Amino acid sequence: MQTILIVEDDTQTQGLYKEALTQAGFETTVAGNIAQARTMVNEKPPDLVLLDIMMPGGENGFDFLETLQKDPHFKTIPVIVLTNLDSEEKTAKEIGAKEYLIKTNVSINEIIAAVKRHLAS
Amino acid sequence: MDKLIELLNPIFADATVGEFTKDVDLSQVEPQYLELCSGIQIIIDVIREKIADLERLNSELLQESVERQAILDSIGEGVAVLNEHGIVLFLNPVGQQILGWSASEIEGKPWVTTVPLEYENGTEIDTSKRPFESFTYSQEADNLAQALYYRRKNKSRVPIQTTVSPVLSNGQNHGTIIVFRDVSKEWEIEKLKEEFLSIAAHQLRGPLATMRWTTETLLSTYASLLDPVVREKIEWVYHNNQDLIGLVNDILSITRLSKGTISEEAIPTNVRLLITKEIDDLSHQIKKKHMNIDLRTDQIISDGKFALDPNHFKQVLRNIIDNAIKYGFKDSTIQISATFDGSGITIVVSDQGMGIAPKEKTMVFHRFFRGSNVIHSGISGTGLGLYVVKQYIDLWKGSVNVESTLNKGTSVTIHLPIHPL
Repeated sequence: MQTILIVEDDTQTQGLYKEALTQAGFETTVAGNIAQARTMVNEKPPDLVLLDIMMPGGENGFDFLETLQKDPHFKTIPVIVLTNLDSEEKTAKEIGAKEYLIKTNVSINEIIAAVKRHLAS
Repeated sequence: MDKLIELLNPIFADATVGEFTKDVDLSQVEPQYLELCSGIQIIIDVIREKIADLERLNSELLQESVERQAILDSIGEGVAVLNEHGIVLFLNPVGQQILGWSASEIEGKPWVTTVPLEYENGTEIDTSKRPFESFTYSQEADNLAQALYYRRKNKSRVPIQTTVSPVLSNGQNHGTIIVFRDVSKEWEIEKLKEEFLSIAAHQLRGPLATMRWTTETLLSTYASLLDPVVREKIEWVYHNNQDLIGLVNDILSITRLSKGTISEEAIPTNVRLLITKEIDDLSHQIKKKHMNIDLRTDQIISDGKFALDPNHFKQVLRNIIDNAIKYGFKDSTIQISATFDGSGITIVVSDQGMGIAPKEKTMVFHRFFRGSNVIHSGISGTGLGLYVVKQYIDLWKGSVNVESTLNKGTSVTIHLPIHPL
């Protein structure tokens, strides 16, 4: 079973992603901050990351994305950015995000479709 | 004769240095020269009168000049006066304070090269486009109305608002008057306002997304568990949530578009797919009003891809199609066509509905405008939809046109000068 790492600080949002991904046949792990996400990636690299940008604890999603891109072991893990910010798409893609989605503008089904699309490619 | 010369000599000597104070003593003049000397005395009297007139005029002019100077000096805005060659003739104290140039330093210098004008990103506006040279300020006003900065003497920048007026007389250009104002404080307030709006809108997006996905999950995954009445209520929540998401997107777009800081990420996009997606997203409202959608696209639109920012383009489509649904009649058809005609994409969305009063047609792109016939109709709306559409279309250098007949319907046409990839 493919594993999706959800990097998201809002617990309700975590729950919604988790429920939808589980129903779609994926295993999920959840990190509520970037430090936790780093630990989890090192312990068990996921097949894909759903990443929020604005995160608590000083580091943001871009810091984590840069870490993944710099490490040859994690560089190939596709990252989908899911955020409330609509002005950071260029930056996110330059750092290495495969897709940039604005939370309010996508349905939960579209998120699942994007996950499947990037895992297939 | 000698006596006459002796008599007139001091008078002429004074005249050579502009003095006309002495009179010809006619009692001393021999009779044969009386006529000549009387004539000279008359000339002296006339000259005196003329001098007195000139002195009075000069004094009036001086007074007027002092008053004008005092007015220009006390104006709370910078004022620069240029001659017909763009050379600075005058800069008032406020102008000197804003620009850091003293009057004696700047007067006599060419304005455009001495006081560079820049956009917010630091790009200097080419001197050939500086309005007082072409005297087409009103035509360029829209472009220049945004963020403009003057470069001061010490090379620092100051945001300004400026009005440039040519001095014309009988169709001849005699120079230019530039009135400008330091708008640093206004900008600071505006910036804070925008930051607040931006933060507020972003903070709203979090709960709105959660609400959207929760209601979506309830309506799909848990559909079988829902009582029809409960389902309908959840649908209300879902659609109100969609309206709020649209409003937040519009507010964020307006904030960015007005400041010229919108971030565009053009990627290869299939236009037909975007339109059908918008129709799908709005399918509930369409079904509720028993409306039909007649979508027609040509081969290039159906199969081709265009470099577009899909999020922004979707927002434009959504605002137009959403209006067609809101203001279209029940059981009517909305026609949507998208074609590529060699010069670009044309999308037409036509509804059969309430329409817009002819006198209000020119106002449809104004911020917060709502037609007088819809205000009391109970149909909710913010009056931001078409304003946002127009702002985006302008950004993409396209055009948007609205044709409408009251109680018949409205047709919105957008044209974008883009080509398939």
